Amino acid sequence: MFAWINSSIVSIIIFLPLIVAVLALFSPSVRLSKWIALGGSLVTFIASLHIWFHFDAKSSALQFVEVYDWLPSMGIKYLVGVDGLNLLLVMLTSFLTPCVLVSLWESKVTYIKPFLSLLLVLETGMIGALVAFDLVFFYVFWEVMLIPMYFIIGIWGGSNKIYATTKFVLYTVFGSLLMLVAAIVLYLVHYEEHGFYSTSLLDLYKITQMGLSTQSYLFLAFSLAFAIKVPLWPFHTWLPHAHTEAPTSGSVILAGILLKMGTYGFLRFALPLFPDALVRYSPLLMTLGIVGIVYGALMAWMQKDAKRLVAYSSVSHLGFVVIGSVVILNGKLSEEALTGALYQMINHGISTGALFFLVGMIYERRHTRILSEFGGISAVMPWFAVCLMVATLGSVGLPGTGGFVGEFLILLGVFKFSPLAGILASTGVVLGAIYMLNLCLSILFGPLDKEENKKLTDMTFLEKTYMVPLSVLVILMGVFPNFFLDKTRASLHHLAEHVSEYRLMVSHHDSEPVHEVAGASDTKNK
Amino acid sequence: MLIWLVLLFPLVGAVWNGLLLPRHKLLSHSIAVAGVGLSFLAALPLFVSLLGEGAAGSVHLAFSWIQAGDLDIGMEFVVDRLSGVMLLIVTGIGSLIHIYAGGYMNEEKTTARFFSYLNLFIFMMLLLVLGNNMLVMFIGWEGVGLCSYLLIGYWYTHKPNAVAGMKAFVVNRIGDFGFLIGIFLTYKMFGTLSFSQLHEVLAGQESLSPALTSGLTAIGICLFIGACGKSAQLPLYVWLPDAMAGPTPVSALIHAATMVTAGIYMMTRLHFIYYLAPSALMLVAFVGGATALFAATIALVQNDIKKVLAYSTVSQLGYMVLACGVGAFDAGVFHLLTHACFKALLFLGAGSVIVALHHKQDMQEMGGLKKYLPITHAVFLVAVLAIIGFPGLSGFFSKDEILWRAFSFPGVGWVLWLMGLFAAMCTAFYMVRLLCLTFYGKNRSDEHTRHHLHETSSVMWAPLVVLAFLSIFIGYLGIPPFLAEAFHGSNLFSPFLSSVIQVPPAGEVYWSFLHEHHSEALEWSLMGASTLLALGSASFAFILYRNGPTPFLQERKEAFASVYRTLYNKYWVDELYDRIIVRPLKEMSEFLWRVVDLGIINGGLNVLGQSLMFLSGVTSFQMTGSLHRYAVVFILGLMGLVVLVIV
Amino acid sequence: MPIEYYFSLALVMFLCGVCGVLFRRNILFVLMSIELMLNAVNLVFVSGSTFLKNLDGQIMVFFVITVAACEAAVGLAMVIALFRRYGTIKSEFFRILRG
Repeated sequence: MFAWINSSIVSIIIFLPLIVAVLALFSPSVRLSKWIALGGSLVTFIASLHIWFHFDAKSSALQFVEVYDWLPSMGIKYLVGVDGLNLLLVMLTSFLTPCVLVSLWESKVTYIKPFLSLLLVLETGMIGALVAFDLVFFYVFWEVMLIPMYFIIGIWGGSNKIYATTKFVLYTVFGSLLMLVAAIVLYLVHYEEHGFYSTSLLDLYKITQMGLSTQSYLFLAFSLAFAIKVPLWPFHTWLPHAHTEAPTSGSVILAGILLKMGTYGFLRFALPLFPDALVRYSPLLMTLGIVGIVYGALMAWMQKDAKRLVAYSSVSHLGFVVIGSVVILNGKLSEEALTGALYQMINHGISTGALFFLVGMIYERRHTRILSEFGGISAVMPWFAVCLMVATLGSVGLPGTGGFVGEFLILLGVFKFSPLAGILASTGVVLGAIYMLNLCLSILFGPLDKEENKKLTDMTFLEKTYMVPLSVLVILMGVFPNFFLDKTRASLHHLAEHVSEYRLMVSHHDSEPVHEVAGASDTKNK
Repeated sequence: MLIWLVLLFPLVGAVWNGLLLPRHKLLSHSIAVAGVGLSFLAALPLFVSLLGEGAAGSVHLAFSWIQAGDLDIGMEFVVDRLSGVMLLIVTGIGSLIHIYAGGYMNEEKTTARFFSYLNLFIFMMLLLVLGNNMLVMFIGWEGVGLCSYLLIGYWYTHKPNAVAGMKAFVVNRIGDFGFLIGIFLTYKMFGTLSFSQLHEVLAGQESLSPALTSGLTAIGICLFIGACGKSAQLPLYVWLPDAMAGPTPVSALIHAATMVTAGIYMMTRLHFIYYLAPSALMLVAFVGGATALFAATIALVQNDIKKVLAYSTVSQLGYMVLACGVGAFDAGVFHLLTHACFKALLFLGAGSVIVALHHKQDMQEMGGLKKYLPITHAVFLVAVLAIIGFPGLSGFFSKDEILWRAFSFPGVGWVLWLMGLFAAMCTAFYMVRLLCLTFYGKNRSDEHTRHHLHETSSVMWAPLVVLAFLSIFIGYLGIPPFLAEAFHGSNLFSPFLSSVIQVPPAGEVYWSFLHEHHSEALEWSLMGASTLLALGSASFAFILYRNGPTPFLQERKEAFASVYRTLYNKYWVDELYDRIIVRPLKEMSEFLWRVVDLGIINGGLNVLGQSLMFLSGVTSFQMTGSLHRYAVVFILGLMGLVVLVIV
Repeated sequence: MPIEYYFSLALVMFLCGVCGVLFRRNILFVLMSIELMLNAVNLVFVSGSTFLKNLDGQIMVFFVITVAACEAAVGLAMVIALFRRYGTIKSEFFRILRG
């Protein structure tokens, strides 16, 4: 039994939420359904902890690999695994999902059962997309993420939900369809060079003969899909709408994890598959990223709605991640910037997730998110005030919080690449302080002069159970970043050094089918 | 081992008070005092161990903090004579102010949050002081900014306080932006951020290439922007006067004695960079001199007792920066030390006055308090004499040292000296004005307040007495050499620091004048001139204000109305910044949001969507919904296909 | 009998079915016409199979019959549902697919 768990741990964390989703949907009572959902997501989290502790940090290879042929005639395999690039994101996903489920424990959401199961399906989609190393499976999981979110916004959203969710889906589908076309071209290019069909990323990484123009087209197609998901300026306008309309839990997942799929996609696909195109387009992406940083910050400053403010701040923060991912120095990616980008994804997930939770809390109590409706809340909600302060500080990147480590590493790398870009991007740090502290100022401080606000109750025990860990994480990640970075170092080093001839090996201490990976593709499908 | 204790105690105090939130005021006060006091006690032996001849600094690594690529930043701390001096200032003066704060905050319901912030501040300040690389220093640097933000806005229900806190944070962030760029530049050029490694690299250079010099100049200027933010220099000083919204002990600790001196400390720590970048230092010197003068003139006419002290702080910080600018880092640190004592004393004394008057800060409602607050008056008098440079008190020695070093700077030195001299005259004037308006003349407060006037509790005046003794005697650590010879003593301070602060070999030619000998007569006459001018200005102020605001003063005010208004409104700098920076930025954002974001990007997309829907509307006329129509078309099409295939 | 006879019969049946689909307005009749077409196809399969001495056609017929049965069941169920809901099964009544 234990051996089986060990050898198929990745599949377990992918599909367990799906199974639990079905159980939760058909469970006889709402209470039971909640317990099932929460239990399932906690087990998933524990299973992902198993990966965390047994992960070999010294190796850049793909670990916990599972390979099964699915459509051998077309070279499609079920290939999943974990390496330093996706490990932290998998952890983030499996950590945030139970938090979201706890936050729904006492909510008065209608149709709670389908809501819970959609969240769990979403978890399957996200983890699947993170660990899939086969283009077809990646694409399927990528789209699986979309559908639950479509319903979550469309059914449980605010007043303008249909517009928001349609926009979200159309935008994303538009990008991902182009990506699908590019993936098929890539598949054929691989066939031409190596003489067999394969959709496995490990095989596709071995493509060496691809002209610059082909690379450019494919790179742009992939990048567009990811840029929309990130969202990179100017493809960001779906985000404020989606966030404003989405229910709190939807926003948390959306900002916390879904957006990272875009930036993760850059790291996993766009950079190593098309290195020459990357060199060509890295200035473009960097420009868009920097514009996004400044623009997002200025937009956030102008918002009167707390949730919209946080949404625009995501545009700004993810601009940092994008510029950190594409810093090229002497034909190599800058390892510092790359580390910062990956770390910033996690930080943003935690701190922005926390911010959305907090905004959700006051929305639930006051049914408004307009900043001017609040003021002086910290007198009646001290716990809330502390958590909001910590999340804010994490978001503005104060040293001692995770946000600083991420932003610092990114900006350091960018500055080494181009001082001007570094300086421009750093202005985002100043602007960040302005709009985030403005948020705090409007909500927490000032006179408590509105009658409705005087009766607000502080965070309940249940709310504390997920806000306290999130707040502690914000600080822990800033004080002991190496604890997290150690796991990613080897993989990032490998990616940074070898981006132009990236090969991902499969770790040797794993089970049998692994060695077939290389062999299987050689013999079949000639 | 001790260094960990030094750091640990305030942190434990902060966490204890912050998380457990003890209800009992005395308990939270004791925890906080113990946190910083024990830290001071632990720092004492550390400092003593540095006293020995040629005692070298030591570096302690706690753990590796950030490791990515080639970058490996350790959480490492340095204990040498420079950080030792700062350590004592921070924990020593910090302890006194913590004790005082217990009395000052006595009217609050709970004080746990306050003392938690205060201890956290001490911890962050220690990180700043002890950090052995730029990044650890930067944690402290922003950390003290955070504490300052939280403490300025401590009484957050009053909106202006919270706004002032935010202003402080944001303006500091602008400075920190410069600091950050400086860090990036340093890393790009040298591949390390560690002070000791940087020192090794730069001290090992016999001469500098032009590229290196310009790089160092850029680094120096960027870091100085950071210092401008934190140490409230032109043009980033605007946050400090507003920061007076915080409780007075906070103003004393953070906005006078310790945090605001971080910029001077940082430049002194990096003296080896600045010595090699003389043009950056020239900028530093002029900014410092200009700030000293500028802020002193504003202080001349302010009526809020804390505002006067705030502008006085800005001005004194200008002195320190000026000292750094002329390469007299030791003089800067010396003035930092004496200033920490007498300015803390001034603020705490003002705090006592404010408490006695039930939180009134307008000097026009004070006067004649000497009778009611004798102890406060006595210590306040000492502090005023110290700051105006009354011979024999601490400020006299440190200020004179700076003026002398400015004067001996070749070339433009005399300009800087004149700036400093004039600022000193202003200082003497406004401090005596403040003293007179507060303590002398007739009492101008209302009947009710006057009735309740009485001396503060011993927990408040005892620290003041200690500070008064320090203000008198601490100056004797740094007697100018020529005076020392005359009195058979010696200057202890500069030689003590000289093992840390040395001109790197590559800069020795430029800085050779530092070792030049000047005639004693010149030194005597300069000292005499500045002292006489300051005392003259002080007596002038005394004569004018000893009876409080008189009709004569009112007439003068009206005669010089335009000058008065300009000064009273602080040269309209805040309004100017609002007009040329804040508002345009806001308008631009508004434009970007309304026009670009909602209009062009989002609107464009909506137009795209709508035009597609219109197109589909145009082409969907044949979708009648009638099954039969569909079937007919289907069959016809099929037949057509068959025909096509056959023919 | 020559195979053409069977095929001709099938053709006639098929055309009847087509006409039924095209011109009847009652959905029930439309469904029956579809059945007729399917049976015409079955006839072609069976006769072809006999003619060619190949069992594939017979097998195909079983498939078609199964599918036709399913289709009839679903179709009739829908017709009943429509009648209950709208009181009519006239096909021109249902035009919600209109563009």
